Amino acid sequence: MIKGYWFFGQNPLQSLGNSKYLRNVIANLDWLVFDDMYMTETASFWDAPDMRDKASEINTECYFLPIASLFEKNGTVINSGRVMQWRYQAIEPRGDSKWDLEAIWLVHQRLRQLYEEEGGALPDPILNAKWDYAGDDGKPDMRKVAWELNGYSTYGATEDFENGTPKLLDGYSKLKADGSTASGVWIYTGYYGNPDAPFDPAQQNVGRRLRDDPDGLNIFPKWAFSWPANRRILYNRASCDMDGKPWREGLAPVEWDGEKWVTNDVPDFVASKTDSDGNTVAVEPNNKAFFMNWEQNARLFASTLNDMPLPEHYEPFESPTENLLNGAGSNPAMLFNSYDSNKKGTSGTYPIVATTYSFTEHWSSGAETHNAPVLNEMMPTQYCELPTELAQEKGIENGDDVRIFNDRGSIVVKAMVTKRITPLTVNGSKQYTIGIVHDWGWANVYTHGDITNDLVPGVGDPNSFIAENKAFLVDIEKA
Amino acid sequence: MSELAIYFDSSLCTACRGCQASCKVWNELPSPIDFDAGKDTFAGTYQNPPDLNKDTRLIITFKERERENAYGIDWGFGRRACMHCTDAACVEVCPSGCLHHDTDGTGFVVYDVDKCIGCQYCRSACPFDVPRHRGVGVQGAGIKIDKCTACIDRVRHDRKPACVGACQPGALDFGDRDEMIAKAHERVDALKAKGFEDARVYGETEMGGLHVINVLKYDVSMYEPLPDKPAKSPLVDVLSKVAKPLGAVAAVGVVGGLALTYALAHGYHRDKLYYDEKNHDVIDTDTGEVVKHIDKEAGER
Ligand code: SF4
Ligand code: SF4
Ligand code: SF4
Repeated sequence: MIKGYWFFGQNPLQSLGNSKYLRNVIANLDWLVFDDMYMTETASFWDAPDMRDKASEINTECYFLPIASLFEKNGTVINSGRVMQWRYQAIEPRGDSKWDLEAIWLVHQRLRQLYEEEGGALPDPILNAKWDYAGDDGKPDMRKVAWELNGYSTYGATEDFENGTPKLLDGYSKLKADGSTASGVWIYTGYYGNPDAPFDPAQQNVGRRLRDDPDGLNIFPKWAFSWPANRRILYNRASCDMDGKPWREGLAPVEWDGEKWVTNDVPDFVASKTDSDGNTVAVEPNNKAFFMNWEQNARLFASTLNDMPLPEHYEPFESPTENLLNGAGSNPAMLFNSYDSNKKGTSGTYPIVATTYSFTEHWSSGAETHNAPVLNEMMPTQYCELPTELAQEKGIENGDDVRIFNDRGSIVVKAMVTKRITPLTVNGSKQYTIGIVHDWGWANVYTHGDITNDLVPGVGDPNSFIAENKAFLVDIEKA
Repeated sequence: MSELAIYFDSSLCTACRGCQASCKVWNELPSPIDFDAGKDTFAGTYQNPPDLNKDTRLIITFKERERENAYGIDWGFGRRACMHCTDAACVEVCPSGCLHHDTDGTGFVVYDVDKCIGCQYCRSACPFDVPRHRGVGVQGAGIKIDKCTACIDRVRHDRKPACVGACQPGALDFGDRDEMIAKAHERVDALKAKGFEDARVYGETEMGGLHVINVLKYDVSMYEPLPDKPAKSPLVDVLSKVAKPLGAVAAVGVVGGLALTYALAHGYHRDKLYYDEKNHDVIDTDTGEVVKHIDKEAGER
């Protein structure tokens, strides 16, 4: 039985599909905690235009924890290119705002105290949690958290964490399955693995800033650290042919020179091994380019996906057409598609295909970017791009307010009439598509708009759970 | 310094408008903070704000049209800001010596805002309708010009203009004017070879040579309001021949009668005012009254 939820810097009641349904059901929870830099649509779900009037009937207890911004805290940042960098704190947090970790820390301490004093259900995970990351000031020290993530020898580790002498490991090959080592995230091992300077991020791989770029490949192997093992390009063996010769001369992260592998990047394959005399010997080129697979080969037929071993085309949950390629309709393994809350529409009632996207000036739910007036000025309002022909049919002029709706929701945005979105011919008839930007909500200080995701079905991809935000059915009219 | 130029290649521009934001940030130009500012004037385009204004020195313009080619559509992104003309009409008409060519010989047209008397002749004269003015004042005395300065404060310290520094795809560049022209021709040749037969270099000869060298991918109509052949307005001669010498005599003032002539055409009305540079007073030349004292120490301009 879920009683509450703690949100960390997320705004799912703006960014998830079927948002209107979600913000209505979340009011059934006993408590909610919001940890954010800005008041978001999630943190003020009770203030949604369609809920405001009955907000007094909502019994959910809400806590908003003001959180420090990225310039006000230090620690590890990781980008989607897998590069991990140490970031230093520039300024003190404003007012009573705190680091995320400090917020969790304080709650944990209090919980622990309550369990000690009063007992309660399942006390062990709380009372026995390893939580020895306090710095000299009694607050969490991100460097100690980095030790934990990186990994260390567990022999004497309790004293090590107290004395600042952790036996840090420099690579995941040092991890053992016998309890003699520990690591929070094995793929990070080595990012903070220099035991000689555990308190100095600048002397750790994550904090280095060397600009060397051997052979001008834009790899910069000594700039910070890339998980795993500082490998910058995954599957880099595939940059060469079977004989280890680069597909493109002069642009190879790895290359077989006839005797050994010449490497500008950490090999993502078995490039050397230890022979029976303990010497390291090169492994000649072979077809084993994907060493995380047991057979080390590429797979065309993949057994690990939940819906299909081979790529297949499926129509979206809502589509104006049958699946002409295989007759299967939408993905039979799709998640949550049987939920009534999705209120599946048909093209008879909702003949227009809608998609959603963001644009340059605003990021995601807009909580950060809408607080920068210069960005609001460059795109002052939420809009929908629609084909000129459709606009003519519906009597919509550029800049008009339009209402877009289906059984899940209804939003009003400005029209941007354009020739860039042309009607398609589907099954012999004209099919209109419109594109709606989704970065607005009611919680921003400088600008407000409707929640585009009110229109989106709450169904998910069977492997990634990713919502199907990019194709669904609606109708449109001049507001 | 040699003659310099900002380079803009419309065919590489992705219209991200990083340059537009950067210009505001570097030059500390404010953006509106009223709730939902700009929503009501939104005209269904990415071009926002719709034109240059007192706090906006640079905008990217957008224009689209259908076309029967492989792309089906043309989408033109233009860079609208001061072109830094050699034959700068604004400089010619400016009666107060406020607008002038940078004394280092870069070719950029800069201004001494303290000398601006708010007459706004520059805006009427500019073939690109660039200069804007901010402020209210007694009969124009508190009105001041704002336009692109080519970030001369950065350039003098060997840094590129802020807009150029923001450009990721390399649509903007900065350097010796000759080099920028050569680069632009190379690019236009490449575009023509790709079938963009209307591609052209804009700025090499216009107005005696601009210090913004543009590569236009399409014909000039896709970069509205950019004029095909920019020309001095006939007003310039009148204003510069008559208003300027008189302006010089009166130090900076605008003579009422003359102003009225142009006011009929442009809706301006001015009293005779005089700016005392020593005491920072704006003085009515008729009555000798101090209309406004500019408190420099308090940061007033
Ligand atoms: S920064 Fe560059 S790409 Fe972006 S709008 Fe400006 S010129 Fe175009
Ligand atoms: S573009 Fe207009 S404001 Fe700029 S230098 Fe030329 S005339 Fe003056
Ligand atoms: S050169 Fe400077 S002032 Fe001119 S548009 Fe670029 S950033 Fe703005």
